[in-house]
Amino acid sequence: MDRQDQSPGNPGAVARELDLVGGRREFKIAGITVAGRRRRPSGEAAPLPRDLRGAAQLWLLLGVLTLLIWVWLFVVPTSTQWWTDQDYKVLTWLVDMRTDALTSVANGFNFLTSEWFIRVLRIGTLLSLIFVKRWRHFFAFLIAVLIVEGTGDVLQDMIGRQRPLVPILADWEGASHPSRPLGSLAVTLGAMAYSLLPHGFRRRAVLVGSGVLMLLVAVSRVYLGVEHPSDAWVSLLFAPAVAVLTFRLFAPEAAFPVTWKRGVTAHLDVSGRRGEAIKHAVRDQLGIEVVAIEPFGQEGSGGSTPLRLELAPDDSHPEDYLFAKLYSQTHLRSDRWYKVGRTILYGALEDELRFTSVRRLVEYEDYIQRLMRDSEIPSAAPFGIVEITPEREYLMVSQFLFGSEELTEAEVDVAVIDDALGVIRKLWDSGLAHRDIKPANVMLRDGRVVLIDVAFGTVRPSPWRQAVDLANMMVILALRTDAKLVYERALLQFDSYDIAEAFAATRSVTLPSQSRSSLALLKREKGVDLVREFNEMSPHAEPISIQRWSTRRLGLTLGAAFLAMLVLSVVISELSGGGIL
Amino acid sequence: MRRSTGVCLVVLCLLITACGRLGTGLPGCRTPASEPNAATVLSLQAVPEAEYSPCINSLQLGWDEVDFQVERGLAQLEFEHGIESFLEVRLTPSCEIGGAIEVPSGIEGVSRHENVYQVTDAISVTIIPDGERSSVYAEGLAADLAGAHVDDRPVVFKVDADIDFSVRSRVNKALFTDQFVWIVNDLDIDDRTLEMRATPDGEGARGIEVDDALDRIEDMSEEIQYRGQWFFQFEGGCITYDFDAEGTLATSIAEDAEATLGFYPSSELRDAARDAGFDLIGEPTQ
Repeated sequence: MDRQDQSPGNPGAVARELDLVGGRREFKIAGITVAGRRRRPSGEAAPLPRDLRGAAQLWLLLGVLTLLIWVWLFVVPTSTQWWTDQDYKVLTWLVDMRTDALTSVANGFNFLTSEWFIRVLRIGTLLSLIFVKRWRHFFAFLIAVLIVEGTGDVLQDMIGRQRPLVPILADWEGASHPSRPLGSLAVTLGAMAYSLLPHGFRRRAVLVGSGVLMLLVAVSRVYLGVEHPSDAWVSLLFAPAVAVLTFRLFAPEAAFPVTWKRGVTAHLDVSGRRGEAIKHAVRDQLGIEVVAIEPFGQEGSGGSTPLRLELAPDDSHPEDYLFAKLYSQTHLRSDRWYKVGRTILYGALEDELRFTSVRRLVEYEDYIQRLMRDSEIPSAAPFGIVEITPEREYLMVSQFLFGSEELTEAEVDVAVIDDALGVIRKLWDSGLAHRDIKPANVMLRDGRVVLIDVAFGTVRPSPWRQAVDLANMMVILALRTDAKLVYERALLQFDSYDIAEAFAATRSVTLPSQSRSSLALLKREKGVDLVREFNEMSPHAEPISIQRWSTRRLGLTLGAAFLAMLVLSVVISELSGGGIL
Repeated sequence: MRRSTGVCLVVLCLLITACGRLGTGLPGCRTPASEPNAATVLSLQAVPEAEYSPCINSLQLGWDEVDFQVERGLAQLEFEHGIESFLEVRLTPSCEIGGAIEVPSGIEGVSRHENVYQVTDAISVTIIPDGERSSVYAEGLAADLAGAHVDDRPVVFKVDADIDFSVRSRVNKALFTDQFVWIVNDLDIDDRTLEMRATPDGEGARGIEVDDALDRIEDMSEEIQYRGQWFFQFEGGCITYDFDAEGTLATSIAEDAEATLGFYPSSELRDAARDAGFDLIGEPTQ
């Protein structure tokens, strides 16, 4: 059997591939030898184990331990006596040590827990994060603070512990347990370190320094008789645990590394440990030796981290590179929020249901990619899915379209127009829709049109969605030629009413932002309105409404409005000087 | 951990904590069977030298929204109706009583002062005749309007026909105690009109009809209210009742406050703590 025939682009390739299962360990796809694959034995760690390790695990354990102690206090109220006895052993010892000099020192440390000092730290941090547009860290900071303040407020009242029965030498407020001032300072310092300092020595040093400082402040407050030792240490465990876990979950270092530069991307860092894990995983799972990984075309991609994999020189294939898309929990969440946003703005346009896991997301994209190839829609050949971290990170590997260029940057003649419109015709005939036809996704390679980024593709789309694909392709072609020529060529493959429907369905929301900005530029510079020209050439068709109301949309809209009001009330509360910060 | 397991655990924790017997609570007054709760002890700790701290005997109907705040130097109970606070009770180390008037406290070692502005539910109108014939007219008006209500508040009419005093002095005297004064003269009898004056500036309008006068009273009447402070001073501290009530709540707030609130003998609690080896104010432990 000719190995070149195994290309998924060839009819019957899938059937022949199935023959290889368990039989052969080596074959080629699009000229790349896929050989020597290795199955990961049971018990062996994944290439990149889950990131909740080290410090995070410790803090998670400490956080859970604190919660269990709190629950135990309620289950067995008499257990409070044991804590009280231990507390008074330490308290009595410290109170007996009181001198004027020590009291002055303790008051100095205690000043750090003052409301205004903490407020200045928090507002300063938030303003800094706004300045560098690090919104993930901004919200993670707010969430961590809200959790600690909210939990402290509720528990203080629910537990209702009296202050130590010793002369109290400093200001205090409310019940004693847990210590709110210590919790407030600890979560603030922890969250500041995680949001402002890059991962590495500086952050570790500041965290250790903050830990030592917090211990001194805690001892000072116990010395001053403001709190019991257990009030202090519970806050010292709980608040940093909340800070660490919040940042690990909402702004993981791997996805949102802190750098002292403005702006942030949602792309994963592929250097260091992850880079090695990717090389290792591709070698094990696809049998391909990768020597270098570099980000590729990230500016046009928000839903994944696109990469170019450089392959080790190999005489068995002519290719030097592969294209890959890295998907993670972060991208899954982004996809969910994107869909929620679209549902609120426009209603459920089509297939706005969210994916339940990263695995489902990549499985769907892989399926669509293969379906497109099987339907002879020209697109990059898929090489398969590579598992980086089970259920959390996957790499989709496909052919690198070397020598291709965006259609809007290429020479477009009648043949190219026919070819591009023919691709849409094939999509229609195959019952498929690409759903993201934009300049960056329509490439020209060796004079033929190739579609990339088929992740949004769908099977048996609505007629409206198919019409939108046609309109978007015609707009892209007209950007490089003129509307009349594109319209005339389109009439060779589509009915005039199909074209009329396509532009009746076209709204700003249906045009990808890249096309929208190109259209706006053309209108501004040459006064040409392509959409209007197409509408004038095609038969009259009533505009197709895309706004759809549903209970889900109503609920989401109300929820978003409630959240906006909540944020507004926090801002107003802050301005009036009585808020949480 | 599966998400559903996590949710179950959180719900379980919430149930356990919600059903737990811990909590700050509200400072309850001493009964033979009761022990001081956390709020009572925290009140004592807020002002450790105070002889008494405020406590709650039993909550009246509509008095159940209570917020207890405590910090060094202040223990405060805030009673709310809806979102409005109508009474704040504060324990502080000292208080400024200003021009408050002393009244008996009924508790040994406690001095009580009050500084209250009160608008009761009845509206008083004094009718002053200016002339012989108008005296009869004034009496007739008072009789005709007896039992009248404005804004559901009874209006009490009284006639001051004491000819030994001039109209002006009678008007001034009436305005000192009542908000409204009607002056009627012989010319008003046929037209059933009057001149109305009202506090605070005593300015009025002449020749207005009785119904119009009642409408003006409705517009100008103050709402029933009870505002001001009661101060209870004792060794080591002061308890202030700060009233800000209006409407039906104001009609009985003074009696309700007396019934609802009491004084907890903090000194006994402090002494008990000292006997147990805990010294709250730095005196030598016995």
